[in-house]
Amino acid sequence: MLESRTAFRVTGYGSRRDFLSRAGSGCGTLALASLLAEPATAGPDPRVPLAPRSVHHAHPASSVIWLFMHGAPSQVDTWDYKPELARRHGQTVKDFDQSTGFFAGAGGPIMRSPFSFRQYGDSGTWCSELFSRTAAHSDEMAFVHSCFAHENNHSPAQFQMNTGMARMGFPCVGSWVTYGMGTENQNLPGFIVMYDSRGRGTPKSRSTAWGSAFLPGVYQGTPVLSHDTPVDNLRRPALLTDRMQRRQLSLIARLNRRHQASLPGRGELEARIRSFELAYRMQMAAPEAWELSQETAATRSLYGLDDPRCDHFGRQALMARRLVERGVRFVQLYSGGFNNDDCWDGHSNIDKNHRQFASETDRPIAGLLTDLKQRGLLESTLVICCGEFGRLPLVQTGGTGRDHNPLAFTTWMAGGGVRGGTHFGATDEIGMKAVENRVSVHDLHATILNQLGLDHERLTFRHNSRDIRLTDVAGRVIEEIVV
Amino acid sequence: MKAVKTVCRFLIAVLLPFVAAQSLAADEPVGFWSFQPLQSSVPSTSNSDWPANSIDRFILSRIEQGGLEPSQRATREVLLRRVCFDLLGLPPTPLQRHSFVSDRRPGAWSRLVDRLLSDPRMGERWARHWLDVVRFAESYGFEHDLDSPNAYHFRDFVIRAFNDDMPFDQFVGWQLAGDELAPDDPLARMATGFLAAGVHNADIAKVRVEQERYDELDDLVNTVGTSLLGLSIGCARCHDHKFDPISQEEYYRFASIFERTIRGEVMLSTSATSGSGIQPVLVAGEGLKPLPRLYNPGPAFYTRTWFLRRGNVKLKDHEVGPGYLDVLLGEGVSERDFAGAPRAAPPGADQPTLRRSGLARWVTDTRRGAGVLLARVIVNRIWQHHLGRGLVGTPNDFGEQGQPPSHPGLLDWLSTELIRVGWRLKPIHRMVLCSETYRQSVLAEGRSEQDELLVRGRSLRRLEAESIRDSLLVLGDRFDARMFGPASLDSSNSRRAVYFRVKRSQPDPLMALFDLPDTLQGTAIRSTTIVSPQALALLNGPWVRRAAIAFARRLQSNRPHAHPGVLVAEVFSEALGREATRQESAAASEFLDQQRAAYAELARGGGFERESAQGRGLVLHLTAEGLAPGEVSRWADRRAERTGVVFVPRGPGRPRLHQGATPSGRGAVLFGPGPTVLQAADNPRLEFGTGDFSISVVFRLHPEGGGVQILGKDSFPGQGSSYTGYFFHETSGHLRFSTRDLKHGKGPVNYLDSHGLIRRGQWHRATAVRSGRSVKLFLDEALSPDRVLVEPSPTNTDNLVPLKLGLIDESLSGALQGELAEVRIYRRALSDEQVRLLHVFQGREYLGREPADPLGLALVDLCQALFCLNEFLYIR
Repeated sequence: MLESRTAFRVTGYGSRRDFLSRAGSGCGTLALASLLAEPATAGPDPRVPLAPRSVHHAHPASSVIWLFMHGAPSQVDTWDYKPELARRHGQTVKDFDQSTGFFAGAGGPIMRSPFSFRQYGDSGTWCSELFSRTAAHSDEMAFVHSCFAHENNHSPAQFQMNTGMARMGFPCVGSWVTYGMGTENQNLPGFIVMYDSRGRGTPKSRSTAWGSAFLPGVYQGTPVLSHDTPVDNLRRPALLTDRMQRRQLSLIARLNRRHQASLPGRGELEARIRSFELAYRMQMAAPEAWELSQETAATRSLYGLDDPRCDHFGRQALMARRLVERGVRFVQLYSGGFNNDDCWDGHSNIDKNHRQFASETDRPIAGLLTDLKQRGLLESTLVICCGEFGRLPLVQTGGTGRDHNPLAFTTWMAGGGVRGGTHFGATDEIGMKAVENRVSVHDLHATILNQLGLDHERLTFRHNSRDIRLTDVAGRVIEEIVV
Repeated sequence: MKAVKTVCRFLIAVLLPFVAAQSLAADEPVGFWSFQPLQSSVPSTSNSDWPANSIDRFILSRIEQGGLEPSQRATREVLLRRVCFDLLGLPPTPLQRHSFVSDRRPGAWSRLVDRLLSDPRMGERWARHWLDVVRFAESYGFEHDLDSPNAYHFRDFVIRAFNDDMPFDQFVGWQLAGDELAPDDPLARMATGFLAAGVHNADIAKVRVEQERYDELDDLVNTVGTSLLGLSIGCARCHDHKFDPISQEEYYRFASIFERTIRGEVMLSTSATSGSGIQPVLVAGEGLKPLPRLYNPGPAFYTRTWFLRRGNVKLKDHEVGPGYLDVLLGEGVSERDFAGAPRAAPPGADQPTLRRSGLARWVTDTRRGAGVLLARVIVNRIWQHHLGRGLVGTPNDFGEQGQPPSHPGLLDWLSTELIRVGWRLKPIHRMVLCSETYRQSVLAEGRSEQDELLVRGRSLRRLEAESIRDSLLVLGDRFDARMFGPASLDSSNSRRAVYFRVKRSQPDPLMALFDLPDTLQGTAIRSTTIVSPQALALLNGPWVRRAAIAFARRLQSNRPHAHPGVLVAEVFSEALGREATRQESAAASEFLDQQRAAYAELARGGGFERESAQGRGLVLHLTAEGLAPGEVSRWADRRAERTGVVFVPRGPGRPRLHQGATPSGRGAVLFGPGPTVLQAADNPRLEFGTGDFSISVVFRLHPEGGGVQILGKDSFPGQGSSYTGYFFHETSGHLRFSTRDLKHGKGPVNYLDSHGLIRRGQWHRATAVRSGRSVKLFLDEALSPDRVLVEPSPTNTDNLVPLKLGLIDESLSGALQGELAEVRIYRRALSDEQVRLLHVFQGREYLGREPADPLGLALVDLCQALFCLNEFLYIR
């Protein structure tokens, strides 16, 4: 028992390191050979739907950690510094379209940021006090200031950020990625989503935030409710020992194989047999991956596990590193829960709201970047941080908050081959609208896929007689922010 | 050459009708197939023996055009299982199997079909299909997801209507306008729950009120469009429909039908369904008291309906009145032709608009209205659920973006039949089920896309979530057959899954795992995913385990002294509806034997005592045996002469012997009230450095609270510069075991919290084992380690501090209020197996646990294995 656990850990590390060194040297010859041999449009082998697959081109990133600031942080209070706001504080914006925000007609005059700003790093990145720890890494981060969304309400905008489409029924980025390239560790899910562990609820887009829609179900994300129960039903029934359960599994497998022999070529039967094998391995691997007590006090502190304000998110961020380290392909973390006041949705008081959620995330995010870097994982891990849209630089009438703003928001990426210290695109002088080098959600998606070696125009799935893409009929890789 | 011919035939047979339909559509939108009158003539086939009815002629003629033959008829056992799941959603009973398989008279199949069609389980099964389509739920969604506790009457109406074979035009009419068409019939009013089942935002800002109302209208337009007509009318909200002949003007006219229709609750007699007198029922209608919101920001409806440019309430263009879809209005017919006689309003109420009854008449009118399309859509759904795929592959979209019918003639023929038999659905079910087409076997070699379009052979179909759950209940004989009435959110309830409360934000976890549909919009086709968490639920899930236990118990109690081979035969026969093959039965018997032997070993309990190594490395063994009644001033190791470890009180308090403390009547040492601590007089034997050790303790916490420190050897930085030790205590209902080696503020602090709960007043067995750097915690019956951790670096717990019972550190405030019946410490790591035996032994010794019946437990494992089989979940 112990031996097999140790062996798993060692092998897990070994294969991962091995993979990293190949990836790090710009796609090793072996991988390249198989890449040339295999037509890029071939779908995954249904017998091993999550096995690692060769991709379209050399890729710096082999995994993704996506930090989703649920509820939408305000760009002008974080990464998009607009001194003009203080100068024009209280002035009304002429021609402001009152239907821009969620609360039509509630767009008041310009409101200055209640937070102080300063510059960080050699890149001179401006950032507010909210993310001072994270900003210390700004030379590793690439900022896109000119993002825009199409929707001004959370759930459709989250649908769009996660699936490319503002309506339900399309696969998430994590599903596309695991469909496109499988995952390195077959004992853990390839696409894991962690949402608020303080009981504040799911993302507003609920299960669409990890759904695989029309892609096969194996590419669906695994939602994790809290750090304590990574996957339900991991514990065997009372009295049943490991050996006895293995005997039970082998009976199941034996009877299943006999059944399948009379019905050859049914992918679903094969997949289901495999799902039991994986389930058995998950019983061992999943608890080990989730056991944070293996981390040193220093590491735990780095992520803020000793700080009750941020220990929940810190735990998830640390978990994300452990998962990526073990070869999980795509991990998505949500900061904040379902309701407005339980997430970044600072309608009524931007100061209070953003201070709270920044205090929940700044230290864990900075810790994550530090930790990934010192372990040599940052190069191969693409870290993304964004909300579903931005917020208006105006006050929302009736309070001191800001309403939704689909016209502009900032997304940053780090590691995974992005060019550190870059700033791309710009908003107008009050941060209301992206005006220069505007970047759509499709462009972000195209860039994420690109860093993983996937060509967004060639990663397709045939559904209802159409070859569907994550980026629909659009998308441009933001070459300016990648190495 | 033959291949070319086959391909050509395939092109003609399969693709041509599609192409024809498509090109027709491109030229002339109004001439699109689904808007055409019904037209069908039964084709002739060269094989005249195979067809059992006209359905078969349609299917066979196309198969023949493709140069192919239909698949053979499936065996009776396969057919029985198939039709029971398709019609009732439940597995056949052994009695059904016996009577059908042995019925050799002609007409056995149609007699079976008739019996099943009259089974009230049919309404429950088919209601679920309809509830999917109409986005039924019992909570209002959005952030708050408030409960809608009286929404279930709609579900009851649907079950009742399907069981009574209510004519489908009436079924639809009542759902749209039961209050107007049959105001005195409570069932008709319950039916309007169809309009009331959508989401309702209970927390909206003033500026959103009007938008919200248009969203509600949109939900109605959408749901009516997709569920009844297979049309995405909702797509025309912001612009004319991009593909189908539906203008934006028509969208708003359609919405205006529901202008004054709101949701509310009325008191109705439920004698036709749940039979419990007068109940509040969620309905839709005019003049109702609107549903509450968290606060009241504005009206529930507006008395005018506007054409909104880009769907935006701020861009009102012009006012519109009610209207239907032009493309589905007969020539020279107008909305007025569907109006009923005006009715006098009740005193003080507004004149009812009767717009929905007009809509109901239009929707069901096959000559002047949309009735033909309505018929096509519903017969397609029946086909879909019996054959696995609709004749139209997109059952909610009969428009341009949907798929054209694979057999347009058959679709029209079935629709014609439906109308001919007075819109009764059961005769259509019967025709479909009695066809040879339905009775084909699964093609051994697999089914191509071509076969699927030709309806040649049959696809394997995975059971839906409800059927999985219901089957397990039936097999365990735990099935609560009560029909109708309020639903439950409790996952452990044993009624059919259709009676689960559908809370939008809180689907039942087991059901959600097996692809329960989203309830925000109607769902026509459920997905069938395959993920490992499903396997975990079947292997380890407590609910499934309980089902396996119930199933095994039932089999055993039916045949108390049966030979295991007989039990194996029964398990297969009941779970899979067929006899086990010789090889299967051999494999299962062997499994049963092996599991039984393993459980027997466990049940011997003494297994641990007999284990030759049980005494090896035992450095401390405390039991209450031999202690004198009264205060305990000295608690010595049972073999004190050998180990010399003796515990003496620390501080003024004295623990006492509690005689007969445990359920088996064994004594225990009682700690408390007040700090009563024992500490080892001499303990060099109780330090293990970084080496292996195991600690096992049988304890309970005082039922009324108090300190929760059980035992420990813990030091403070003051005692030297280190902070080291190992200890057990309870925290937040879980047991925590810790090891630490914190020297000069550096080093690991390790702890594991039990997964299982510690209940005050109950006896628990806990064992912690350190082996190398791995630490495992076992609690009670959990015979796999309850938790495992790997110490990040070797942890030296030595500290020269005495081991204490009832305390872990120096502060007496946390001292144990509870009892210890046994403490064992080993200078070695017990194996998982040894801990398992130890806990069983302790269970018998202290808790008086009777060892379970080994054959019974082995049978549970076998039953559960069968639940996991592909054959159990995939129906041929």
